[in-house]
Amino acid sequence: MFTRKDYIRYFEELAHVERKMIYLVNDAIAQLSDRRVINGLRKVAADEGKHYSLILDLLARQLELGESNEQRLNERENALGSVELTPLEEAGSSAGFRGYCSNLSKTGMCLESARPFRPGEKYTLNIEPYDPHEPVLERKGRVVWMREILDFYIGGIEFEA
Amino acid sequence: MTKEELLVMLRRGLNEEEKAIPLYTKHLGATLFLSGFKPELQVRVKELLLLLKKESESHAKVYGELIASVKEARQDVY
Repeated sequence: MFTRKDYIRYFEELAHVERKMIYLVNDAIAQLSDRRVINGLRKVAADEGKHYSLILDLLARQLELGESNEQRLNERENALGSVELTPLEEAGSSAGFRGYCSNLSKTGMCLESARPFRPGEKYTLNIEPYDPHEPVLERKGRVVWMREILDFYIGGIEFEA
Repeated sequence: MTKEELLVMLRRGLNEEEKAIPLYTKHLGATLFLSGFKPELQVRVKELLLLLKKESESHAKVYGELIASVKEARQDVY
């Protein structure tokens, strides 16, 4: 028997898979100059974005996660992008690395990366949304939590006020 | 981006799409899957999973065609 929790876990896994594909294809487009290849990949990128929105919509509205979760998920719209993390000297964090933003608000963001990071680490974050209409942001923040999902590390970053 | 870097990226993309397809369909044949949902929602979820599967197959084809054309081309920089 599938419980509500099983469904949520399954659709969250699908959302994670879609995000990984969005990151991959957008990273490639950003590095390419060949129009033919870019155009081929743009259609894939648009579809992946649509898939991700449909899954989030299902999670938020159909699986009735509750108002607070729905609000949190809605904040994710158009918030996908790449992130360069540079450790803040005083925090003694390890080397800088590249990750992805999957959820952005005024107070923090959800970070995803193939490289692990630890709670308490502090970074300067250069956030570049995939949506070209959204501005590039620079924030200072601290890792609040981190967990491993499949082959990715996902965590919460709290921005400095 | 060099030809080799592009081919690595395209193969990764193809691999991700091919790994995702069975994930979309793994529960569709199970009688109990979605049994906790209202009938209209069951239909909607099935339609979504089938759309994801169909479009992932289409993306895998796009990646495959790009891999073939890039491999054949004499171009070194993309």
